[in-house]
Formats: sequence, C-alpha cells, structure tokens
Amino acid sequence: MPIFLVFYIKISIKYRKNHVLEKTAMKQKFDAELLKTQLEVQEQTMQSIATELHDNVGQLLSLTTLTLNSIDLNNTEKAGKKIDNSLGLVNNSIKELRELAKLLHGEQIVQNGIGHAIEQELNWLNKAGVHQLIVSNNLIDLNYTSPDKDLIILRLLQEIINNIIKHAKASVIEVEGYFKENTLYLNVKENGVGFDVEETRGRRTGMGLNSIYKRIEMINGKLALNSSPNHGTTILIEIPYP
Amino acid sequence: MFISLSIITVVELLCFILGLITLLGDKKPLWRNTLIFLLIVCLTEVILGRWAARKFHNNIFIYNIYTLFEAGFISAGIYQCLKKYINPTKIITIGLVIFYVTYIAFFVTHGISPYNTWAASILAVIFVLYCLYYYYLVISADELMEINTSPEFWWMTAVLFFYFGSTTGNLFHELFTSIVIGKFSIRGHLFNVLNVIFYSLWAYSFICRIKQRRLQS
Repeated sequence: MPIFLVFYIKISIKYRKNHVLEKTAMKQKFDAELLKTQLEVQEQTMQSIATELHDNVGQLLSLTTLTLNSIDLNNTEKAGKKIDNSLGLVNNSIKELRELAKLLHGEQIVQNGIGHAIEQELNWLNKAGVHQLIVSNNLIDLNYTSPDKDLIILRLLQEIINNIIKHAKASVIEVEGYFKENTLYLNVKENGVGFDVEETRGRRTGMGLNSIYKRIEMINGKLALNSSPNHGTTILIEIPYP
Repeated sequence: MFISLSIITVVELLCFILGLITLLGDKKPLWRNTLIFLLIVCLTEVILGRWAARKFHNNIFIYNIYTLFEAGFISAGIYQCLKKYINPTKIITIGLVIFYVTYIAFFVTHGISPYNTWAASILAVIFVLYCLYYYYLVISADELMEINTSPEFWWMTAVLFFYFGSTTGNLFHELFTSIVIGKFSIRGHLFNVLNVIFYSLWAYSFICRIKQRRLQS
C-alpha cells in the first residue's frame, strides 16, 4: 500500500503540474489573442478616423476655405451670406470632430458595455449611407459586462461588417442583439452575393473567417454561418455571457 | 572486544553516521530532532540493550522506555512536516495522549518486563494515520511539491513504510511468529526488511536535505 500511495502521489502531482502548464499556456494564448484583438480594434478606429478626416472634415474645411476666399468685401450682402455659410460649415466640422473624438476613446466604447459599442459601430456604418440598416439592439440596457469578451465580440462584429462592405455587395443589413439565459446572441443577416462557406474556410486567407471561428471558440461561443452564392449570408453567434 | 551486530543495528549505525555527515549544524527542528533520535536509537541498540541483557537477562524494559522516546521524537517530526500545511498541535496532542494512556494502562496491568505491545500497536496505527493525512495535504495543496527531492516527503514516507509494516506485523503476529525461515521467524525477517527500508528512506531524505540546504545557501 505505501508503494502504491507514493506512486499515486507522484502521478497525481505530475498530472496537476501538466494541468497547470496547460492552463498557463492557454491563458497566454488567450491574452495574446486579446492583445491582437485590441490592436485590431484600435487599427479599425484609426482607419475610420482617417477616412472620416479625409472624406468629411477635410472636405468641409476645404469648402469653408473656398467660400471664405470667394468673399468680395465690397458686396456686403453676398459676403454676409457666404460668412454665414462658412460658419455653418465650421460648425458642422466641429460636430464631426466631436464625433471623431468619441471614436478615439476606442477602448472606452467597450467599457460602456457591449450594447453601446455595437450601437456606435452601427452608427458609423449608417452614416456612410451605403446600406439600409435594420437594427434591433437589446443589449444597450444589459446589466452584465465582461470586458475581455466585449472586446472580442466588438471585433467580431467589425470583422463581419468589413466583410460585408468588402465582399457582399449587400443593400440591406439586419443586426439583432439580445441576451437570454446567460447567453448573448448576435445575429447579422444581409442580402448580398453570398459565398461558398466550406470553400472559403478551406482557403487560408479567406475573409478572416478562420480568425472569427478561432475567437468564437476562445470564448466558448458558437457560430452558425449560412450562405450560398446569390442568397445572402446569415451569421448567428451565441456566446456564454458574462 | 568484538561486538556482533544485527542487520538492524548496522543500518541504524550507517544512517546515524550519514545523519552526522549531512545534518550536523542543521538548525531546523525536524533534522536536529532526527539526529538526536538516531543517537538514542544507536545507544539503545548498541549499549543499553546489550548491557541490560547481560545484567538482567532481559532487555525488554529498555525497549519499553525507548518506545516513549520514539513516540515523542517521531511525533515531533510529523508535527514539523504537517506544520507546513496546517496547525497540527491538536491532532498530535490527541495522538500522544492516546499513546501514553495506553502505555500506562499496559504498564499498570502487566508491569515493565513484557514488551508493551498495546502501546506499540496503537503508536503504529496513529503514525500511519498521520502519514496518510500528510499525503492528503500534499495532494490537495495549491503549491505543487517536487516529491523526488523533498526531504520531508521521504522522511514521512519512511515513517509510513515502517509503521504500516509494523501494523501488518502486529495484526498477523501469531501467524508470522509461527513460521520460521532460517534463523528468524517471518516476523523477524519482516522487521529486518522494514528497518532497512526505513533507514534507507531516511538516509535518502538526509541527502535531499543537504542538497536543499546547498541550494538555499
């Protein structure tokens, strides 16, 4: 019996050591992936800001310059109108810059809750005016938070939206988010060109799908992707939450 | 003067010599006590036991007195090992009280001359239980022990081997003493083997301890 006990303790400790090592490795992997996600979210924010500065604020300020340059001080009536127009343009620029400032707090978006982060993301998409959005976001009043998962969920949504913008050629995007029985549901549906899921997943570079699946798996979530050529795409995400 | 030494006495002496080499100067109570205990063991075996046998033709009372020291020193060692995980004062005290009550009861009813089998048997069972509890604490502790090189673990393992074997020997006393192989009964052989295992494991724990001390210094 003592020999058996000594062996048992030895094996038991060895097993626990392996388990601890495995857990540490998994934690490191998770942290690395989280950091990557964080960087991607920041990158996406910077891209949005760059686009916004170039396409919106930049244009508004150029127009302001043109308007101010064209003022003829001898024609006071016209000059007054142009100055009013310029003021309007400057005010619009200020408004746009304030919106941009909100975006700069990329990490704080998630701190306000995943519902707000999704709302912000969809607001930017809506602003572009390319797609008709049908949104049912019931996550705004969610009482639970999970910062790590929120960041990953936000990045998933960004990745899905990027894919729709780049590849789907969709006109309508439906987004539904809700929480039920400790599970967060996020469904995205669009009426674009669709694609062959298996074939795309097989390709290593295919639309970041593998990365989406990997991240979903990392937070013990489930992802159902239904798509076929010319029939749009539906993505159903289920994540244990918080 | 030539002194014939039994296997048990030889391993005890060897273990004591190794203890002197490796543990002398060790300030930890476990190792200091172990060395003192080994000195008592050797004195009992080599000098006192032989002296009593010559003088009184019966040296069992010496071993009965030795059992008192054995209970105290081994309990103190177990206390030191358990202390890493829990406060063992209560359980060690309970064990010692049970042992001494049994010891006195036997002494009162049988006198000092016959071997105090009651106390020795109870002591073996108590030590086995302590060792099992120690193993349980080792397994369930958050900090994972490197058992191959842990001196305390091998010290306790020696105690478990010896007292578990002793308990088995005590349980089958009649059977084991009735069968004789060579010079000794099966019980005699069993105790020879148990002592060799016990002192070998203690010797190994001493080596682990000196390595540990070298690493710590």
